[in-house]
Amino acid sequence: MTQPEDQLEIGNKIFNSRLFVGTGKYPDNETMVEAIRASETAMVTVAVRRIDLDRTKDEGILFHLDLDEFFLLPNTAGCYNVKDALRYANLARAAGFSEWLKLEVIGDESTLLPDTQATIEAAKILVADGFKVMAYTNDDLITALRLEDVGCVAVMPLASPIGSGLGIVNPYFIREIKRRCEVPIIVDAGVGLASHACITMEQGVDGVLMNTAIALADDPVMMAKAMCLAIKAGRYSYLSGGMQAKEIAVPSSPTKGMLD
Amino acid sequence: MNSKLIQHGLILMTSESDKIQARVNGESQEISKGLSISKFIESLDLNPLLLVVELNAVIISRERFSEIEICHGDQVELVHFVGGG
Repeated sequence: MTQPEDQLEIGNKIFNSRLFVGTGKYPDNETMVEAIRASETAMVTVAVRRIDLDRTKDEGILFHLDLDEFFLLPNTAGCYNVKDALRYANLARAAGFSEWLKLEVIGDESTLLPDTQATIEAAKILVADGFKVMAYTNDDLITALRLEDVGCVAVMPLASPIGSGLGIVNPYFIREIKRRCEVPIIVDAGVGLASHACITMEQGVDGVLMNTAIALADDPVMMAKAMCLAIKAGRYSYLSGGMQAKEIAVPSSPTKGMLD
Repeated sequence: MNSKLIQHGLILMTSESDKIQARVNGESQEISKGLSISKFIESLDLNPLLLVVELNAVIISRERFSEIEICHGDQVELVHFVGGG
């Protein structure tokens, strides 16, 4: 349950969850829908691809997702340059659902790390063209600031490489990005376990976007529920203003009043 | 002439008169001459509301599906949303 005063606002839209989930890699569509529901997410990502004309038309994700239930965030996954990213973005918008976009321009096939220069360039063009851009980027403060400058509605630094499940490898830089940017910071990619999600939220970021961690769990629906709880736990832990860690033991019970 | 050759010949004649070649999602495809985008989508049993059409690298709005015909040599892309992160 998100407290009313703690709602997430991105690009003038209110979200009742700080967890955003992908729709790829699930063992089947029924599990995907059940997991998405269990995650209590408010926004799901989808990819733009050719229709496979040799296979059943049932392949399209919109046969399975109720658009009254979930807000769609199309991505530009698989794009390695500005031209392709713009092409995929325009195809996504032409589907007629919204102008929202998860922009990703990949720079390296092995690590799937973003091409930050190309991402900034594409973001600038897309924002000017009316898109609401949520930009996937690395955990680099300067890139995050540039993406904010060009008008992205959210900046989405990675926790660790896409699909790695390594968790947050650089909490300091994530905190610094959150401290310095005014737009919402959604950590995108790299979370593998619920504990990772919780620790990520404890850095003070506004939300987390994940796909593989849920889809590739043995029980995706149970993991989706775990992620839902972890995101809330991490958020409340951050908001509660946790104690300072000390490398010394301090008794919790009174030292006075002990019996002789 | 055996029946297979006759059949082949008929196909060639048909191809010259009523068919055109277009590239659809990267594959060469023979389609009827004068076929509109909407009729082509219908022939594939696809829902026009759930796809986007790009013709020769230009996105075609749904309102224009019925008025634009696919021509010989056209590059047609039919895309939709799939699962992704």
